[in-house]
Amino acid sequence: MGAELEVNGERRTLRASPDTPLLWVIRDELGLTGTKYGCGIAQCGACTVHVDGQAVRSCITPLSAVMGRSVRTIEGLSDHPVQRAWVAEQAPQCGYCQSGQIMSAAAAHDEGQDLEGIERAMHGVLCRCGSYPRIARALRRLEADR
Amino acid sequence: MKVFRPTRRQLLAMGLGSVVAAGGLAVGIKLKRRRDRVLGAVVPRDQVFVPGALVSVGVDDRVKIYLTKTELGQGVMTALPLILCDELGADWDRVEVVQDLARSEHGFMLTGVSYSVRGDYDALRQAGAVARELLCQAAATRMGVEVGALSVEKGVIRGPEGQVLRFGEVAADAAELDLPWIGDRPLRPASELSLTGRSPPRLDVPAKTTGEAIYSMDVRVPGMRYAVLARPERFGAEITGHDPEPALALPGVRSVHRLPSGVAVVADSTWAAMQGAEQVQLQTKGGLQLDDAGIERRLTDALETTGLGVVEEGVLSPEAPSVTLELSFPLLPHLTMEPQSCTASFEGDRARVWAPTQAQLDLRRNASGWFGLPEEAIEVHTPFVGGAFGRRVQHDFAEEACLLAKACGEPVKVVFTREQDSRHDWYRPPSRHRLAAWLDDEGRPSGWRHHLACPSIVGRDDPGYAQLDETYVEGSRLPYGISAKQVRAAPVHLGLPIGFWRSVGHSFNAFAVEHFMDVVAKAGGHDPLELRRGLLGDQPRWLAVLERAAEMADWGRRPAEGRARGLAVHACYDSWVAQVVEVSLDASGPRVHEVWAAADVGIAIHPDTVRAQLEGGIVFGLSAVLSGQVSVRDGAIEQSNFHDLPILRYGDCPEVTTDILPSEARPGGVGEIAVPSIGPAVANALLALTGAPTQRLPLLST
Repeated sequence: MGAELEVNGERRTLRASPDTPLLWVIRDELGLTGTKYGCGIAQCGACTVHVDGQAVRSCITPLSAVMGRSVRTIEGLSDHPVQRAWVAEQAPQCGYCQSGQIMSAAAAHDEGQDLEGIERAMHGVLCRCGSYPRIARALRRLEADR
Repeated sequence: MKVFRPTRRQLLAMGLGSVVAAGGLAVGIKLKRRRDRVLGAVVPRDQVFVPGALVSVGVDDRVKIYLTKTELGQGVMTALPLILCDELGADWDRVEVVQDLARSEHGFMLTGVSYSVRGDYDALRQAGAVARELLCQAAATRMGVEVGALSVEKGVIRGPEGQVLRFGEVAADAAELDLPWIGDRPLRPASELSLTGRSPPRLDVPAKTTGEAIYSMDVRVPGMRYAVLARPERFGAEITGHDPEPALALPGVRSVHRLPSGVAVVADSTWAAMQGAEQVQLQTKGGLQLDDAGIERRLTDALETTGLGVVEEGVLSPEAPSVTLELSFPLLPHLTMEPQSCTASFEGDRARVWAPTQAQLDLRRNASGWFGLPEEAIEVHTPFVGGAFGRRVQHDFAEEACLLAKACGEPVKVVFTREQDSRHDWYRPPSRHRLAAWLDDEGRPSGWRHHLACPSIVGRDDPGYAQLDETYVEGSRLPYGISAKQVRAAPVHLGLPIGFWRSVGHSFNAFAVEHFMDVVAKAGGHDPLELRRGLLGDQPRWLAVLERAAEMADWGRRPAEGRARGLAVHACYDSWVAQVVEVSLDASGPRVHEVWAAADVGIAIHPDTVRAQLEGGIVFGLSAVLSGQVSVRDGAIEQSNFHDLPILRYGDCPEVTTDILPSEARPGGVGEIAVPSIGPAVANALLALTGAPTQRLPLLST
């Protein structure tokens, strides 16, 4: 019996066992590799997806917790204002953390958070390359464009 | 691993000379129909004009430029092709950049030492010039005019009477012409270069904002299995036995294999492989007997020895020094956001490897041994890399994947968990420093002595290593005009896996020099900027960045109550960087509010990338001085993940302002150059704030 949930607007039936972290279901079973593994203990934010619009760390979220719900990954964003701001400010360097950065910012943005609220969300997503100054500029651009 | 720094001449000879020797045209570039998942472009077969290994032109005007360095986030995928495109006169919007396979034609495929732009600059311009010359010769013949009457811009060749030919229209004719000697072609004057210095959007950025960029962790090959190794905790321990049954009992686990570095669990998914690896019971024996106290003891003991001479100028006073400082630096992990991984496929007489490597040809040479195949039978693919900082020149992950692929007969991706990545790294070596200065009647330094003890990366496997090499002494040759200087260094063997970490020896030696300079300034009653000015009289590039950073920060202005400023200046890899920081101190430790950085990198090919690397190096270096360390107990690393290996977070990042000094000088290095000076600038600010020097890093150690 497979777990049923919606991923990026499509109904999917998944074979993975219910205790499998959503991160690995997304990456290995669905082949959506935009969501990244960085730590596995919800310390780095690279695995961030949206579950019913909320930012969630998929590395510690078992499949059983999202059955019947709506999951959106980075691949499910389409020309989001956050993505446009990121490109305009040339924010990514190696880029590995950026799916998590963008998904965190997008969730806060779509919830209607102000700049301060979005910045609080960014504190949970690590970047080793030091793209923080550019992310800050991208968020200010996003705010200005609102 | 020997640190090889080729001269420009060597690089040209290796990279392009081999192409000429082989008869030039169409050597080795076999274009197949393939879909480039990163750039989303389908590459056509009709790239007919191939004057060397770096560029090709098709009948449809498409220009393909082959990238021979790894895009690590440092922007080479854009900057290197830009140099060639600018010289060639192609249309940048129609250029396709292809991350090439490991090929001998590319000579020296190493991405490191901040040497991509400054090392390939000449070869790229020459390659562009040759291609332009041949296309123009073909066009001149077609038009019936002299070559000198032509102009080239955006992929179009114009004749004196308004005749126009596109690159694609003359590509086939150009392919018939003899290739001239590459190396001394006349180059375009700077006034004709329209891309250099302009920062067009980076080619990899869009894919990195949509999840489309493929990293090593993301490589998927039909029939691929996933493997995670159970590894001995203690460095150098030998596995004497293991029980595979508990792992094999898990759903999704297919097989268990003994490798030199651990026991690999091969499974149908990453999660099953991780779960399986946790179930493997390892019996081990032996291994490194070492802990932090032992490291400290060995480094301290080594400081008592004479060491090897690095700098010896003038004669030091026999009197006791006026001021001294002892400094200790810890082992540092790389903590690339993307943990190590590698995919390999063995097909009997051929093999393929997808590796996040900084050294493709080195990997292929080693893979030849791992597979038992000639090098030419092995394809080495380079995906995007989620952070390198020097970690990806160590090919442990590739060896494991290749051995497993051969053992399993199926493609295998080896994945390191974060815990394994942290504990099985090649760390920035620890070091201990003893500095002393003698002051004259005006409180200025007349004598400087620096003794340092540090393991050598070159000699890391050799307990008897007693050579001087740059990996542990670079950055200690201070530029200041002090009449007597002595720098001596003692290599220490610890038996730990140490390796190249962003800015290598500069990462600790620059701290020692620049922080002690402020200690000296304070002891002599001088302003740190004013003291340095006086001692850099004949060093204009040092002075220029120092003055610019001071100007940006308004050095003379008193900061707000509870805050202090510090500065530092350092040169490495042919570039100069000066930084000023403003810090405060509270119960939780130092807080850096602002950083101003000025850099002289010679010609800035892609200035926005230079700024990004300055910002990035500052954050990376700041993270290290604030909280970077790993500790050793029973020959193993104690920490494992980001909960006990904290790195700087968004909310703690200072405001960073950068400036690039205009220059006509040859391009200098960029990727590592901001790291060495941020740490001492912070320590100098704290010295100003508290009166106390820093003696031990990290600053936030508990």
